[in-house]
Amino acid sequence: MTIYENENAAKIISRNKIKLAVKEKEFISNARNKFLDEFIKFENKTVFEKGWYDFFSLKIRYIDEKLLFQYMPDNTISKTFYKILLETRSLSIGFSNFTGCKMNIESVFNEIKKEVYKDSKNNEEFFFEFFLSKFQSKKTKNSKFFKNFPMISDNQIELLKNNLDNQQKFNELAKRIASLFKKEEIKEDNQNNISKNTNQKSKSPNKEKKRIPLNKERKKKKKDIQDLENLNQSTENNQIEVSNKYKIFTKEFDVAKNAQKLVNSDELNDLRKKFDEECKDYTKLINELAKKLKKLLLAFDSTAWEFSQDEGSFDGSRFAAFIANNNNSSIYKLEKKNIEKNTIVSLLMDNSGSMRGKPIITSALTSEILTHTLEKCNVNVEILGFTTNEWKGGKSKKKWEGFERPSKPGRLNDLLHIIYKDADAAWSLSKKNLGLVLKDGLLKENIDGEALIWASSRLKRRNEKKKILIVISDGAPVDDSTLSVNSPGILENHLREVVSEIEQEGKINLVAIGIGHDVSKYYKKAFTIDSPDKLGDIIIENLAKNLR
Amino acid sequence: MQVDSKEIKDFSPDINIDVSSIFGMKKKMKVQGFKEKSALVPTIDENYIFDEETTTSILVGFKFNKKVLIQGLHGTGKSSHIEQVAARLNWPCLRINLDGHISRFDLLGKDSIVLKDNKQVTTFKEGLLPWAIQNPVALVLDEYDAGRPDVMFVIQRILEVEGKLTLLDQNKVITPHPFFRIFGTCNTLGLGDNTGLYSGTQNLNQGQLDRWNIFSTLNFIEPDIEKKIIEGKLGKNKSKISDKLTSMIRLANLIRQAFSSSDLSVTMSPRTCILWAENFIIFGNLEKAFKLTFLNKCEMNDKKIIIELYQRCFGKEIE
Repeated sequence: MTIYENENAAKIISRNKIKLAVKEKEFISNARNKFLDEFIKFENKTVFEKGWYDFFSLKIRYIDEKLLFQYMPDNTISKTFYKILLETRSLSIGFSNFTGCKMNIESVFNEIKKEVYKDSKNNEEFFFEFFLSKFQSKKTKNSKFFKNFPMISDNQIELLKNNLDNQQKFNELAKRIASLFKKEEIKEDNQNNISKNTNQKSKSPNKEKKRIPLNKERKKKKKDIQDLENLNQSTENNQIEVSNKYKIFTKEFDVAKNAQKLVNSDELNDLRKKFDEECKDYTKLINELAKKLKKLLLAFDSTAWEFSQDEGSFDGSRFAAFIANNNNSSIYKLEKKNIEKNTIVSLLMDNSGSMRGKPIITSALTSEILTHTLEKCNVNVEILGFTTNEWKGGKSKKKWEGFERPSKPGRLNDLLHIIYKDADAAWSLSKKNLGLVLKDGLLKENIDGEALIWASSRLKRRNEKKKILIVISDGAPVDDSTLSVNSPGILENHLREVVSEIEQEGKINLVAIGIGHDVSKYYKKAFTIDSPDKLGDIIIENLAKNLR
Repeated sequence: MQVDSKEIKDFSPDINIDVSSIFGMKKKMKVQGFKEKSALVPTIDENYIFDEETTTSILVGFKFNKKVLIQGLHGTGKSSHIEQVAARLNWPCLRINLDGHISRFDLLGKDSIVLKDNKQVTTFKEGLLPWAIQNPVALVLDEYDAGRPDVMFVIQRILEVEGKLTLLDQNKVITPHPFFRIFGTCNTLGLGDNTGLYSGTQNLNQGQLDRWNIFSTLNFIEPDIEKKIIEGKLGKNKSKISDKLTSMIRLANLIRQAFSSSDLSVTMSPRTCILWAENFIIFGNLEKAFKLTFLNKCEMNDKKIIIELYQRCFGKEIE
């Protein structure tokens, strides 16, 4: 039993009022107003028993949002009791309809009640229990209830019970009962709520911060450099244009290697295992993506006949026509496929330091799923990555220093271009290569322009009719070593040049996806996504357009 | 056409049938029907439950010579609806499946080889369409959205108001019989398939969709009605299952809801529900019947969720 199934079941049972929890293990409600939300922090327990999920989904299943708000009382304490009444109604209906849910909930009911009403002061738990058993027509002692809640009359309870099936009437009655609760505790309650909310809100960003401190710093650095560049550009615009012809100091130390040759096979296997481990957190993402892709491919995969052909399989209905006149040669039919299978898709991943963590894993994961599915319908996929060998210029810089540091040497670092999967290689053989993205210290600087030249030249050598190049990156090209000794726009300008060249040539369909970074200033077809989760959707959407 | 076509041609509607008594509808309407049963009239399913809206549109189609297209998910009983209405009116009915392999030759007619005075001669043989048009027949085009575009243009002509059909191969113009009726059923809205459920469907020509007078949809069946339908199908066996039926339909509706919000990639059609119930009668075990009728066709991820939903509805785990 995993969280995945329970969450999905909860979403379905709540009639989509509960959205799926993404990574943080909390339910996120879909309701228009926060009123229906019941955030339960899943701190101590990693896997909840079914009953918990069922409880939260079932108690809002039969609540109609429109009617809920129509009869909503004004003050906080009334709201609380109004809500309890509505929830007990929903639960009792649910109990009679879903035998399984009832079993699941009852097995952990005491725990749930303890957790849900742990902060309550007005005997809410008793109120809840009383009405739940009342609505289920169980025998209950009324006397204790009236002692606790003297303002509610026997008549009202009966009326409520008789209107279980009529939600409008029920809500109206519930409002009337709930409005009887008016006490001074309102203020206090309010404050409590506020502090609770803020606690929850501040929680998640804290976690984020802890997890990826490096990312933020790197991004900040990039941004600083960009700002600086912009400033410089405006002042010495002309100068740059003259002196900014892209140069490369030396190509001697550049490497373009298959991932298998970068580390030994054992280490690669270990990395792949680690990668699979990481992927477990993304089960939901993978499943959704695979589902969508499958649908997409099915939608493509329609075949039809083309009649009146000069060759192909024989068309029986034309037989007579052929006998009557032997010259009648268009008696064949051909199968026509909707999908253009003569296609190659190349995925170029930015392997710079800022991609570390979620971005690189989701990129690799998306590539994996894409390759896996597209391979099935004979579309070739190539997976490439680009970064540098060293942080501070590496051997190129040493050589440059040896030559007494000529000014404006051009690109001054050792490129590292990685082939995760060659277009011709079978997926089963290159599967473990993707583990490489997790290798410590692999992700460094990114020089986008030259990587694009490399990837596109690989594509140009291919025979496929349709060529699609998808670039996934999260920032502007950066290489400290190069930028410190050249004019600041050198890498960016080069990227722009390369992109416009490829776009004008028109042989390759170039699409860029920026993770949290607007790439539209470089690429014509550019998409920006704020979270790596959306990567799959964007790519699928694009493929859908391009594969037709 | 093997049926004695002359015979059918001579028939014409001779009685008025009161709709409300036969179909159990609130609306009062009288539709012409045939007194006698001829060949091609479908057999009556006594237990058939009619959906009010769909039945009304079909009846209007029969009465006022309107072209009716019914769209709906698979297994909601689109074609059988038309058939059962026709059966009760004694109206001859002809179903053609418009799959991707039907060409216009099949519909309009083609040269074929026949023996005449012991010699092989090629003569033109009319297809189903010219025959149907000249007879008091309700033509049902099944899987209308799977038809190939060039075939659809053949149909386009008979969808016109006074839709005369010109047979170019024979230099002949056919005038439709006054009691010829045309109906269609399809799974998609004519905009191609977005769900991946209906592979093989085509984008329909919007100009052609326009020519249908009535566009009726049958996507959802009320739980109570569905219950009645299943009970009707089971006949005398229904008492064996009556206590479980509500939960079965509840599970089916959970699955359908999950499908429409794309949490599942499969949906459970009313037809599957009927099969499930029927298989239960055979196997005597609800879980086993469910597994065999539905669960085994689902993929791994969907399976896990469906197993959970099953547990919620019945309180039992499927192994």
